[in-house]
Amino acid sequence: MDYKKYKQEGYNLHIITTDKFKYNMIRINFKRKVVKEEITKRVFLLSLLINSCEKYKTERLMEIKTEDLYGLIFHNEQIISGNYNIAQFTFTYLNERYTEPTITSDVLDFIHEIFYKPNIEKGMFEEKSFELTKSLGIEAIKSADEDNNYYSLMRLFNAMDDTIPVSFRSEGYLEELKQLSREDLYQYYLSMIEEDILDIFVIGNVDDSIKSEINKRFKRKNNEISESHFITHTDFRNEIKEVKDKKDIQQSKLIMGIKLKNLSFYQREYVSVVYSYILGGGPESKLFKTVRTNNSLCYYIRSSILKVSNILTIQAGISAKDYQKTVDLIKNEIESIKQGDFAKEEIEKVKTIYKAGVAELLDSPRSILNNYNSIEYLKLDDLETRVKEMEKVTYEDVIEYANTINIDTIYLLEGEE
Amino acid sequence: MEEINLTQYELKLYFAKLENGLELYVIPKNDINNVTATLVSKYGSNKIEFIPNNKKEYIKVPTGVAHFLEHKMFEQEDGLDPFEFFTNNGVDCNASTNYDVTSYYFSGTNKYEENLNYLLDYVQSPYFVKESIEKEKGIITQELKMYLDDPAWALNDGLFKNTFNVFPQKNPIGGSIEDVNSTTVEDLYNCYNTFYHPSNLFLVVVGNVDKDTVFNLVKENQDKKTFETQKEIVTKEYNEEEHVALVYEEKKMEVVIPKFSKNYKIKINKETDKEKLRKYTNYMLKTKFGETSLFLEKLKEKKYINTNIDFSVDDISDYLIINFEGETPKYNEVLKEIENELKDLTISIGDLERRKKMSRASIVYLGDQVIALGSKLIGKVTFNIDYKRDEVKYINDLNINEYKDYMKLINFVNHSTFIILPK
Repeated sequence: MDYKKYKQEGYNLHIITTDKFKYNMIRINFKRKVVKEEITKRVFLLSLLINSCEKYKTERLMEIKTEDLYGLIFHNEQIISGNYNIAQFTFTYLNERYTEPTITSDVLDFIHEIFYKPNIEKGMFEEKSFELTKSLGIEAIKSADEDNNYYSLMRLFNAMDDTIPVSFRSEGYLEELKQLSREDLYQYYLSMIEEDILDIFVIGNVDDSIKSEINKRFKRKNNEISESHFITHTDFRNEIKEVKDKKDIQQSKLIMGIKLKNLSFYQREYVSVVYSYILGGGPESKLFKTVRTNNSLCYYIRSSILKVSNILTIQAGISAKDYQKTVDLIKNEIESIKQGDFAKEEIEKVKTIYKAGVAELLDSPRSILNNYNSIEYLKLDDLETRVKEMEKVTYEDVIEYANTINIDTIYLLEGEE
Repeated sequence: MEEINLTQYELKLYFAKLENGLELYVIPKNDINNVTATLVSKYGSNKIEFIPNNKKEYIKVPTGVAHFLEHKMFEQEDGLDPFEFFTNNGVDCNASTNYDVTSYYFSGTNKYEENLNYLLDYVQSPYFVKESIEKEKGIITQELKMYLDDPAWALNDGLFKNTFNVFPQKNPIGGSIEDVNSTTVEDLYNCYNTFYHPSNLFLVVVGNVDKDTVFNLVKENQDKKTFETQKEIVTKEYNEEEHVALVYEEKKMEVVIPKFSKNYKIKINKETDKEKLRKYTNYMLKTKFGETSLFLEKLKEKKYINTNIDFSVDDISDYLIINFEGETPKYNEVLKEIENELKDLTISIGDLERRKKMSRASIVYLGDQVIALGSKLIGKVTFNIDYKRDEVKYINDLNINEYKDYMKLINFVNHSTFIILPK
């Protein structure tokens, strides 16, 4: 496997050559600083671009084209990654051995149609596909809160700090969507295509000609340099904030949010992983053993780190009547790690798991691609360095890290008993 | 071991049946690091009435016992927790229960020999005691409540409750909360002793392994153990009638957009090639209702629906079940349109060839996703589908005349609909 990064005219091209897989992937990322007021039109634009273009005007015709390309799979997503908003489009297709010699060039033609020949009439997006996509967007916004985990998480982030991008709703906002016009969206489209930072990733069995194939199709001016994605919190609470909502559901959702403070690169990348694992990373963690195994209070409990947002969350599904008991047990476990009450062998376990994870990452094109994507945006260490750095983590490192942990907000979505 | 060439995936499958009846399937893929092994009992939530091994009378156990048993396999007499064992070795492990099977697996890049030995050991050493079973009830209750709040689960469970009259798939996989709370140590042992004999288990190992190492290890592991002799497993046969238990039901939940799910229930003759019937029906559904269909485009233009309609086809007991599912306030209009569209099942040769092309493409993708391929194999073994055949040839041989013949076997007389409405 070979990775090369090329500075092209107005974009970065990343090519990972490998003959290990039967399919190739091409990823197109448009990226800019996140602005809350832009989220709605941006997510709408993503969806419209893949629902309709000049040549394939309806979703049905787009889908037929993907079948003609031997089951090309495309996926689009708006990712709010700390300070940045990434409009990400990923295209997966079988390589030429299983299709036709021109497949890569055919797929690139299709990609070009999507981005450079949208369905435009008189300087604005065509009405019918615009309205259909709008209905879809309205439904997505309305139904987002049906997911109780997502709903609770958004309520928690908003309670923690409603100015941090992780509290913004990536599906968009209803009022803004209703008011969005075809002209406005076209202007926004032009600015995304021309002015965003663009990264193109390719992985698979491709040769050098892919460079010129892509260059022919993507030419632009922008050469803005990306800044840091990471959010820095400035506002820390002295007392824990508690927020409760009610919904007519059977299981209550408990979530705690912790703002991570002044972490070094090493702490953020390595000690964090060890800490979260010991606290609530799996069936062997302190939280799982105490809250589930010993007290039968929940089916799931886990801690997770939102690295780019510098937030740690703890989530559990419980009975509302057990709220205080569960909160107390969790607080005790957080305190106990601060006192060093955990086995040193636990750290070695995490190292083993981490190393195994790194090896497994090489098994699929998607995880390899994601890895180079993260290295580019988050300036991560390469795989070899990561394993070495992880080896260095000590018992004292974990205790030091644990002592920066203070609960900011506790949220409960309370169900009926 | 028997060698089977899976030409279409550019892989080989190795098969062996041990003396105690355990079947072993190995698909080596040595250009990746992962090894995934799954030990499967052909025992799922549908088996609630049977004659326990070494007994004479039928018993009926509470619903959800298969799932309860799966939870309790993770408690061992020696105190070592399987999660702990696998975590120490740096691999994932878990288990799952569905209507037909219970599966225990590990997946990861480290120490597969040790892991494989342990997988067999812990699943083959039950340890059920009253105190820990009582404790587990609180945990399982929370799990079931989580599913009860999930509209997708509610749709599925509600619809199957109404589709079948007596067949146990009318019960949720996890059972009812009342049944979970009434489960006893004896229930678990009755099920374990009947359905976990090696002759009712099979092991699927895929990834970076050496086939002979796997075979020798499994053989040695099993040779060391003794098992009670297993009589043929007798489970209750159900006389499931063609009509559905309830044609229509609505339920209110915390949702914003109404959701519908509809089953068509079609009796299949014993002689029918069920798999082929499913395949052709699936092609019919994809052509008529899929993302390339005019039908879907028309429904979107009429503002009846924004998202796609999900559909699936399955054979359960002696029935073919065709399911449609979607979300829209205009569910009545959509269901009517579906009913109309089903009046004519004609598709063109071009449509059929397009579906065949897509099937061939997904076979290639699958050859690169050996864990998914392992799951597919588990399905085939469970339902006695020929896993040796050349899939590409199977697809290539499908033709429009056969399609027409198979479509004659389908009617849409019996159906059940479940709707979830906002509160």
